[in-house]
Amino acid sequence: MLNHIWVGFDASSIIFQNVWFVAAIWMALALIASLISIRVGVSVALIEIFVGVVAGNFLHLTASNEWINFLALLGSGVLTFLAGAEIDPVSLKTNWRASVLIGSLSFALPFTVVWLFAQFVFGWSLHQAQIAGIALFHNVGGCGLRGHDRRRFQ
Amino acid sequence: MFHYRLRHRARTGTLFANYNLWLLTFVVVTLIVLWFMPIWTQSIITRLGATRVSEPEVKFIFFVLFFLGGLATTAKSEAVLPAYLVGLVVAGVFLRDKTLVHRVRSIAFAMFTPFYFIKAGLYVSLAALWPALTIVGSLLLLKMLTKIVGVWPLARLHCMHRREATYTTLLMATGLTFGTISALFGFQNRIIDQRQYTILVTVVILSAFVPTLFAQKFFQPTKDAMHAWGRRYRQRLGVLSVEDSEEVNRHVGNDYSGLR
Repeated sequence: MLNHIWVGFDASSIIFQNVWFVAAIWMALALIASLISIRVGVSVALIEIFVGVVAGNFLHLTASNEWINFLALLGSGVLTFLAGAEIDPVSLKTNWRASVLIGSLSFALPFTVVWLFAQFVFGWSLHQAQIAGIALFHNVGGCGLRGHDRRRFQ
Repeated sequence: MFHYRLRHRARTGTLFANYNLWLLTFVVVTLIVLWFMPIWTQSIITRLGATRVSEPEVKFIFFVLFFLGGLATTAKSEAVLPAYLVGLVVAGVFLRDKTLVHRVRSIAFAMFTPFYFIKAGLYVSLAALWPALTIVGSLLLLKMLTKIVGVWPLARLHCMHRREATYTTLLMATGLTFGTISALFGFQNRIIDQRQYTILVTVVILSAFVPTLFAQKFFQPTKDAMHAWGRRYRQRLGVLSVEDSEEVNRHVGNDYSGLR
């Protein structure tokens, strides 16, 4: 009985089992990231990752809920969509040769070098090294991207 | 046993055939959608613009993204691929309709992307980071060097002055969004472990932060300088636009007025 009452008053289990409280914690972290980003003038995406690192390592927050993973999935999709939509089509059409050439080389060289380096120097497996190459070659969208909007995504 | 093998092979064959069929469906549907997407989006904005409170154009964009995402994942591809391409083809509509951009951005940056970036940060283990600092440093250096070698000479070849070429190179060395998407994909599909994920995300963060800081602090070109580069480049290609000719005429006029 006492145990039952004690469990009833266990604040952390109440909070982490209630979807509203979990949503509130995540939104509070997002809000903190926005405030820091405005204050220090650094991209909000970067601060959100930092906040995630702190929450994961010191507050032991996890993304265990299905709906958090779903929202994160939508986040990556919409973010990619917006990255595509930020390309200036007129500028891209006018400078397509320069964009394609610079874009291709800025992809091919880092991808190949990082892949080979990770595989043969660090001893990572083929697929692990390829993930390293893909993760580190990327840039948002090349020459056609409007400068003032780039900061948001970088 | 032989029958079992045969049946297993037939089943596997059907499985792959199905995936190939799904892949084909995904490619064909995506191409059709990409072709008509600007017209459809523009038409929804023009026809239903009066009933904005129900936000049909935003719902339409999300519907297309989710539908193509579903097709992509069924075909064993990634949902971000059609999302980027759809973004690319509606870029012109977005450029004209700023309200639509603001609405999609508001929804994305308030509700979706914080969950994505915070989640990407959650898997970074500080305990795994400290022993791997040398690897992080060498990967960062490698990324910067390859970007400089790959981009800077090309930027110079395409009529950019040193300052604009350096700015372009430094910005091309960033990539927070796609870098974290790739690393998270590898981690969630168990291709890389948490230590490798931590290394990659740290390099991605540093390569987003350090070059942008340098670019904006020391090499930020003026808007006029970038327009001037565009004109130089188009002049070399021989594709001067109407605006360019007007600009040239204005300069010539100014030069003559100076002579007079």
